[in-house]
Amino acid sequence: MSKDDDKGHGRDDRLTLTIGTPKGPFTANFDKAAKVSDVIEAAIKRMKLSGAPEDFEVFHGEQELKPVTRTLVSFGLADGDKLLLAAQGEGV
Amino acid sequence: MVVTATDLVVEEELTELTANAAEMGWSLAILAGGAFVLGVAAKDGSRLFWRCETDRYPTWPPAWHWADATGGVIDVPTVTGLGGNFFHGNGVVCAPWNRLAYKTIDARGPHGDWTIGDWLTNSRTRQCTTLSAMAARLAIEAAYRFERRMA
Repeated sequence: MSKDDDKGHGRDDRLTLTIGTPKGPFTANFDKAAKVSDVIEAAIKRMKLSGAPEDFEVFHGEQELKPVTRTLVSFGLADGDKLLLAAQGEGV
Repeated sequence: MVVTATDLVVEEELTELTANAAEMGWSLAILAGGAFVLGVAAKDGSRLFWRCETDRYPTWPPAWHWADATGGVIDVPTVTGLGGNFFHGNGVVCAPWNRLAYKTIDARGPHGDWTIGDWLTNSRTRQCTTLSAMAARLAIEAAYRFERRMA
């Protein structure tokens, strides 16, 4: 488990999220105003995933979090929520 | 007993998959020989299952068989899902990361045009190169694009 630092933000401004990734889950603390793309970039860095941000998509339950330029809070995410970072794949 | 490269890779990736399954609400039963049964929630409220066999992985992709919850029944119409681009009407998960999609391996495989040893560089594999990535894709397809069982 890992956590981003708080850097002076109040606790109400932040969310702790657990994200399933192609290399297992990790838990981190994000600013509510962070974008979904920030979560993808954090996952790539933290879990040392190969690929670019556009190679991944993020889901919260039955909701795909897109566009990735939207903020976390705009999707109604709550502290402790779990997200799934999925590698894009093409079925044919 | 000699430990193979496959054993090491599968052990590491199964550890990651087990952790993901616990967080995401997937069921995961580890069988002998590096095989396992994965279960995920489907769009209709039921659960879909696959028995995954990992021999020769990652030289070859794993074999994702449609299965019942125990993994004892595989590849019959009552456990086979349809819908979207992955849950193919031939009765296999159609992706380069599924061994059964290759006609050279399984007669139902839609692809005689893919080379199984090239699965990691097949452009359609993209980043679905780990057991967890494949499981995530299956979970998403089950939740969003699954339509019905074959029978």
